[in-house]
Amino acid sequence: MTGNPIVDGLQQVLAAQHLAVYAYPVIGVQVGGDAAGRARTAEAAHRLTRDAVSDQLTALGAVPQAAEPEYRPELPADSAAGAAAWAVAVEEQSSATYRFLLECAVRAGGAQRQLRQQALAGLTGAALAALPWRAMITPDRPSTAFPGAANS
Amino acid sequence: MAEITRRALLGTVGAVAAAGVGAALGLVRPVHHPVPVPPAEPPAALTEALVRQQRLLADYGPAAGLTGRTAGLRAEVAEHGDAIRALLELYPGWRLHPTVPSPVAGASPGLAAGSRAVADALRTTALQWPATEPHAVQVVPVLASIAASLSCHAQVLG
Repeated sequence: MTGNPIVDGLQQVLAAQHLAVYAYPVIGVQVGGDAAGRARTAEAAHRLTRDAVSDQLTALGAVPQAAEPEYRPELPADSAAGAAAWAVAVEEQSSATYRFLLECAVRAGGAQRQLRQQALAGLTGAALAALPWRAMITPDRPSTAFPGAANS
Repeated sequence: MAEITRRALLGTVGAVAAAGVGAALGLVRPVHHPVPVPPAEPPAALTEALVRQQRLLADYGPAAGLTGRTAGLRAEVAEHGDAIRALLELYPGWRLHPTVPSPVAGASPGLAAGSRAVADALRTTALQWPATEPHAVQVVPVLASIAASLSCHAQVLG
């Protein structure tokens, strides 16, 4: 923690983007078919976000945190279902960081309109991105009541 | 005639002086009487969020008649209502009028469009909620999460 809530929030978002950029190629290989295309699209989107957030942090005078050398899913991602579960976890992590960024924007005081918009769009985008992956695992319950919240 | 001893005289003077000091302290010491203040009322935007949620829940109809995905979505909308009520409990004035106005009768926009409209309204509320409001840190993220969830509902239903 830096004491600057906006930098802290953006660093968390960046960490989740690093994870997504690492995970989606692994996921794409396991799911195959149309879902593989979705994984490629997701990877490209997260890569763009990663670069944009990294630039944002640099503009704020902070050093963007680097990616970890590797990331491991909580459960093995060596099947289509396992890979889909990892994709859900990746997007939930992304949702959680955007929700945290929103909290940080509020704590920072002032309107912080642009940052709040970024966090709201990111939270919704991550929740929507999780939908098709969760539908592969629990078709009758593709959504969650509180994306980004602990135990959502 | 009683003889006044030095000890009795000193004792009397001491007692009178102590009483005087005590009385003086009592006069100058501030007395705090509890002043009743009106309990904080919830912001209208939060009450409106509950009205919208109730309208959407009513559009789903009773839970008993639903199955599969729709049943799951309805259950989540019900959870949204619980979360908004929990936020309203942060404002003690809410306990004075814990009910909200009945949803306005009229043509329903349909579940997908209704979900999308409530999501948009909640996002606007989360965007505009004053950072200086005492419960902003609790309220804004919850409203944002519900908005994201309802955007997913709209996608599923659309």
